[in-house]
Amino acid sequence: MSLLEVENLRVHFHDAAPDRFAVDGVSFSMEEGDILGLVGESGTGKTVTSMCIGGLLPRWKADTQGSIRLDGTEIFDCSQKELNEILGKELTVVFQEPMTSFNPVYRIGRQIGESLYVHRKDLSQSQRNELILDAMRRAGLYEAEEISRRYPHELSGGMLQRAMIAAAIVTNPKLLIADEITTALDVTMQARIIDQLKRLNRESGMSILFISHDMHVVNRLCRQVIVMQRGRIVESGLTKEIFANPQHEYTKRLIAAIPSRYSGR
Amino acid sequence: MKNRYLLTGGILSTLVTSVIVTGYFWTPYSTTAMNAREKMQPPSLSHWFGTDNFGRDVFSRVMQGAGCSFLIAVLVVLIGCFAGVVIGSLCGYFGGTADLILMRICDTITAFPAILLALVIISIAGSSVSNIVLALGILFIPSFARVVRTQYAGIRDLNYIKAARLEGVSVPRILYAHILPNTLPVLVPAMTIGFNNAVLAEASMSFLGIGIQPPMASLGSMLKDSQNYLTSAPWYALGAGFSIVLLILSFSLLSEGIQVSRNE
Amino acid sequence: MRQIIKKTASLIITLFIVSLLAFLAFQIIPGDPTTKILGTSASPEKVAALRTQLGLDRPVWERYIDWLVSFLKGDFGTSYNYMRPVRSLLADKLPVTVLLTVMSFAITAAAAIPLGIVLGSIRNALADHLTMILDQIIMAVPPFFFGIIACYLFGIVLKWFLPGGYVPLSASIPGCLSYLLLPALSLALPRIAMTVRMLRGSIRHELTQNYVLTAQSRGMPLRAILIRHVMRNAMIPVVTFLAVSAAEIMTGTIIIEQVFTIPGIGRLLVSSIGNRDFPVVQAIVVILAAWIMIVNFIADLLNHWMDPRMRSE
Repeated sequence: MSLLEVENLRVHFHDAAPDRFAVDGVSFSMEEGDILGLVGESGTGKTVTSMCIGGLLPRWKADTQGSIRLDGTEIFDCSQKELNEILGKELTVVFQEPMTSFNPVYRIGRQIGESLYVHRKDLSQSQRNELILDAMRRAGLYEAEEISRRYPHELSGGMLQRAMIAAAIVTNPKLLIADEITTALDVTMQARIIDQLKRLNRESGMSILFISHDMHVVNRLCRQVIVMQRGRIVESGLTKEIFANPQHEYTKRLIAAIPSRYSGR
Repeated sequence: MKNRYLLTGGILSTLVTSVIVTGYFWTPYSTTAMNAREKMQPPSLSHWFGTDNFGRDVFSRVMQGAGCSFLIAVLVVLIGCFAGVVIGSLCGYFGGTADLILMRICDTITAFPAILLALVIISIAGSSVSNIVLALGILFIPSFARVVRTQYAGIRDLNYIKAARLEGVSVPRILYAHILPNTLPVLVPAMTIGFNNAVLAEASMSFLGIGIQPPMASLGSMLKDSQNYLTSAPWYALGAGFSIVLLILSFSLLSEGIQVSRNE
Repeated sequence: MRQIIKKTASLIITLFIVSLLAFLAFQIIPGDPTTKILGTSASPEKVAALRTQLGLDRPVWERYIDWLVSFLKGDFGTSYNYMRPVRSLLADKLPVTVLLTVMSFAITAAAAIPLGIVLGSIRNALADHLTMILDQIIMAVPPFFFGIIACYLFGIVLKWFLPGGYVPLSASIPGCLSYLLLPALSLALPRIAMTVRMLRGSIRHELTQNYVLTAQSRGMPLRAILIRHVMRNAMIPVVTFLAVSAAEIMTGTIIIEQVFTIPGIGRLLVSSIGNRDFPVVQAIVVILAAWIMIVNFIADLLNHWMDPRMRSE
């Protein structure tokens, strides 16, 4: 059994034209311990797909069809309560905007421990603090104690994004969805975050669904890749092979869009 | 949904304004002639809002009183808006220490309810229509200045203004021909809100007997009079009071409508 | 901490400036106070003697400092009209006004905050529509007209209370409180409508923020997100607005006291303006101004405590 199985997913937003599907029949699966890249330019339904996997797309906004099974559990059949049991514990998400993804009025440390607050009520405050600091170090924030006392507006974008990753791994979830997490960052910071994700995957076997529009970043991180265009999958397979021999015109264009000094491994 | 405010507000305010403007030239009955036989008549077809203690038609008097309130509010908004635009545009465009100090003063003034300050000014300068208009007008300057300043400070560094400067367009022309039209989407709602606040402030002061003095009547002073006849002629108070409500409601719906359609 | 000291210093400076303005404002009044006391036909020697007695022959700044010192000591001068110390005039009137203000403010906060939270967090087109319409209508009604309607409806039609029959606090505490209830409510209604509108909008706005999505992705139920994350952010602008409301309510008592004939400082202020009894006017204005600035200061401190972004500026 795969960790994640998406079958014939279709999403229709209520305010869109009747025949316009944001995600139109997407199917793929992902094995445990894998890093899967989901690429395509903005508006191709990558984020919508990831929101569906987390059950985060509100019903009043869109209709969904198909099936998403995470570790055998059908997400679409879950009640909100059952979903809340999975989110933050089995599955966590890191979003694109680190600046606004944090609540401006609380300290970083407290917010990193949010999943523990929700799911591990059995732990004492000091046990939680230990886990928070540990997660921060694993995410590359080595001055963990100092940073955990800061407020979001006092940290840089790169630091905040690593804090977000720390918040996402604090409960050791099976699957981490990283939605365009490097987009708002500069190139050096991108590289460091990618190394950090690779290490997390290697050391704790965490599966990562990495969503990006940047072929270069995907190429450096992911073993497998899925290319999406206008709500559909146009090509998928091993990253190495797709880079060596892209079949679809769109994939070729995405690869061509990488600045020349990056292309190739 | 968005047009419903604009529509209702537009229709109501047009209606209210046309009744008021009519009242300047013509009222169904004389507003001053007393008629002992028609004293304290309840509302009827011939007297829509009934008659008062002197047998005068309340609707006619409300028309006239609303006209007085309306005129005062318009003058107050014009004074506040004109001075506010001048101060706000200069502060926003040039910035600097003068801007800092002026805005600090504006903030301090707006922290105080306008009625309180107006009462102070009136108690010193004496009560007359022109003093009320001036006092309220001055007190309304800061709110306009603030809004206008924010707009100017935002627009001043845009490229088309820089371009105009490089082309040698004169400063007054940049300020009032290039930038001012762009502040209208913010200025117009500010004016309708200011109008409502002015109606309310004038009504409150006249109600206290500090505003309009008899024989002139505004809605506020009528409401104060009518309170004495609440037992025998409640329609007098209700007629005057609901006219204030209608006047304010119509223009606040209008400004809500303008703001909503701007956000669309 | 440094910020708080800075803010306190700035409050004190502003209080000084406002007191100076209040003092100077009443110096430029046309006419000499001696004329008011002695009449126009007094001999120049008598006028000069009185001027010395009142200290009017000394420079303005000296008189300001004297006035300020005695004001701080609680000596607010002598009423021209009643020939009594202003302080004794205010002594039994200020508590009534303060009580009315506190009641009205408590009603505003107690009604508006829960209502705003509920209306901000539910998603129901009909409830949305009704609140918007009700909000607009209630905001358009001046408090004194609410007062008149209440007098008519509950006093004259239903005869639940006697309009104008104020019960002093010393006579009966429940009697006084129940008489003050309707005026307090009249003052509160428009403020409730405005606060609900603001809080509702503020919560709606916060609910669209990314940090809400983050909390959802942690498996936190919506109720907990509202309480733990949204409320604190949504309340930041509302606290400032409530301070404005407190100032508006205190000023509003001036008018509502007329409607319900309540012997508070508002009625005293209006009659003193009519009589040109300036020491009384001056004292009341300074007290009201100080109250408004202190309320704003408290709101500032609350915001400072609630929003860490304000602390680092």
